[in-house]
Amino acid sequence: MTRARPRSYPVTAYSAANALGRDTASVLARLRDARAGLTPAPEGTPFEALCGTVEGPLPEPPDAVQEFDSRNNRIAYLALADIEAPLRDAIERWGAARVGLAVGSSTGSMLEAEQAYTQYRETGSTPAGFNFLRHSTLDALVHPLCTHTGIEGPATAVSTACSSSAKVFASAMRWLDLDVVDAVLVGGVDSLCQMTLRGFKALSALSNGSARPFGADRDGINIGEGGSFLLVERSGAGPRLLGVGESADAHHMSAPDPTGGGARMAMERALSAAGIAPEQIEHVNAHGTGTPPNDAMEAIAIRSALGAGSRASVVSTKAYTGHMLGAAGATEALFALQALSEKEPFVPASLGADPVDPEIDLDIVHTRRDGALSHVLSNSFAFGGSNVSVLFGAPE
Amino acid sequence: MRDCYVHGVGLWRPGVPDFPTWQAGRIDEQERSPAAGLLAGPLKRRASLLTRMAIEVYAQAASSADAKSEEVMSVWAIAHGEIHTAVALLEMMHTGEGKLSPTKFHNSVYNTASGYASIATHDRAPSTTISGGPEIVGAALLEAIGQLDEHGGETIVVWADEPLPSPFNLPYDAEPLAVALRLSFDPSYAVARLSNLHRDANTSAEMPEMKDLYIAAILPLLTRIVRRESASVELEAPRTPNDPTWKVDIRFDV
Repeated sequence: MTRARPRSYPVTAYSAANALGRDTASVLARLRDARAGLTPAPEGTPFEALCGTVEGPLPEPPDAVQEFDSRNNRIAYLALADIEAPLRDAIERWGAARVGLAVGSSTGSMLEAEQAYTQYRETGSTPAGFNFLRHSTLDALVHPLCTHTGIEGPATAVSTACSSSAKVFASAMRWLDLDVVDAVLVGGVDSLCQMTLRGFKALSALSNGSARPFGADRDGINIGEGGSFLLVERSGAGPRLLGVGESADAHHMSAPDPTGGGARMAMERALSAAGIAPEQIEHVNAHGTGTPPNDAMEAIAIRSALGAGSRASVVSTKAYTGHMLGAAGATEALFALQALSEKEPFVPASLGADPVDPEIDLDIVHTRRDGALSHVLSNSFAFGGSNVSVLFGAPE
Repeated sequence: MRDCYVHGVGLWRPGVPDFPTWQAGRIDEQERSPAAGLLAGPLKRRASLLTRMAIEVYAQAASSADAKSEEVMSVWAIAHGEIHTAVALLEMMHTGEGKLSPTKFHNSVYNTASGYASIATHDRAPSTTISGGPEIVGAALLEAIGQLDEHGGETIVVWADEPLPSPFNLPYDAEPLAVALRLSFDPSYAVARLSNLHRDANTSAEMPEMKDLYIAAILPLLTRIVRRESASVELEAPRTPNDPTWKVDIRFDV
């Protein structure tokens, strides 16, 4: 692959809602205070598990997109609330047709499909008015979000499982490079459902308690739900999106390549795209799911991509929110950006990592570290061997 | 936006094993299952029809390569995802103890075909999988041109979808469909040139009736390739008469 030309775009605003809180300030306050948000799995789950749930009532769908209602979309509306004002400004500044939407989701509105299927099994028909195209496809996410936000530029859903909302940064950079947009609302949203809880259970990937990423006794993941959105613009103030590296493991559908080759390649490609040397990376928000194979593989990959002399701190935030699947990439990018913040910058504690697996040769952060950094990576890996690493730099 | 060039075309639909058959307007009633020769035994046995037809057209579009690049990027555009696998999992929740098959679960993600293709070819090149509604045909071309602009080389765009299985039926009859285009910025030996990919107001006087999968909106472009007929082609059926739509110009001056 030829090296991309170095370029950078500011992240001018962001917002989030997940198990840590219903608004961005609450989410970040709990991240700063190292307080996890995990609670027991929803009713109907036939085994015990901890999950990251968005607590409390969710917003009603806007009138114009009432027929596209789902829990997933309601989480999206909640997560959008804090970014609506800057987004309106961006639409005013650039024009609605020059603002795009790239949203990641893995399960979308599978919850509503599950409920409809259950009713079909019990009564022989799906609920009156249930339309799969309106309730349980990713079109049922993209179309209402465009209508709700007033975005009229290119719009797409990226669905590469757990890397979906990290991939959206690659789309945003390409669209800006191609000059088809001047701003892109990127983000991710996923909601809890039995499909993912039981699916990861079937893969023996669920933790018996809280996930303990990089911990010596780690035993699996927690599933979470939530949404995050970030505004990437052609110009403006804020931390810089410097490069995105993408690769495939080409190994197995759900087991990571134990050599970490694909993950390393994603980080190397992000460095190359950004024109940044490995030793300039000061922090990595790891994919860090808490499964034994992922964390062992990722430790090898980070060490080999950044070099034996790297002093980058490494954190997994999965034990705070649960693994939010299609919403994880955007949310963790937002967490990584806290180290670049001009106001009270910090790297959060990597919950559950103490004691660290002796096989893992990384500087895992046990207690919050305050202070501004200059370059950070956020990793996301997924089923299908889909790897993404996103590189951000401090504001100019 | 830069022009890109079509270097290979793949197509599969029940009764239509490949693009030349479609080009000739022939129907082969025996063709109900794509060959998907790229997939070795165990991979092929576990793959859904959606995955197999996506891999089949991917390989068709790639096989006409004059010289296969070391790495070929890809964009997979799948509106309904691995919906048959997902519905099989929904049924499992109501059977016995409600346990799911781990293999079916990891094969239920939208990027299953992309994962299988990379495993089969050992190709670690950047790849993305997108979804959405009627805009999916143009949105996939935009991602592909973006990949070429970022990395150079070649990319294969695959559009693949099936009608929804019971009990989530579409309001119309449709057949599964998979189409692939191999694209690059290199005009040498190209089949056609694509230029001016853009989105603006729908110019059709009448709303077309939605009678096929969203991705079937790629077929008018293939018709132009068959006829070698330059045109500006609409890449989606709009939701309302005022909705903007993706369009691209196709030219044969290559």
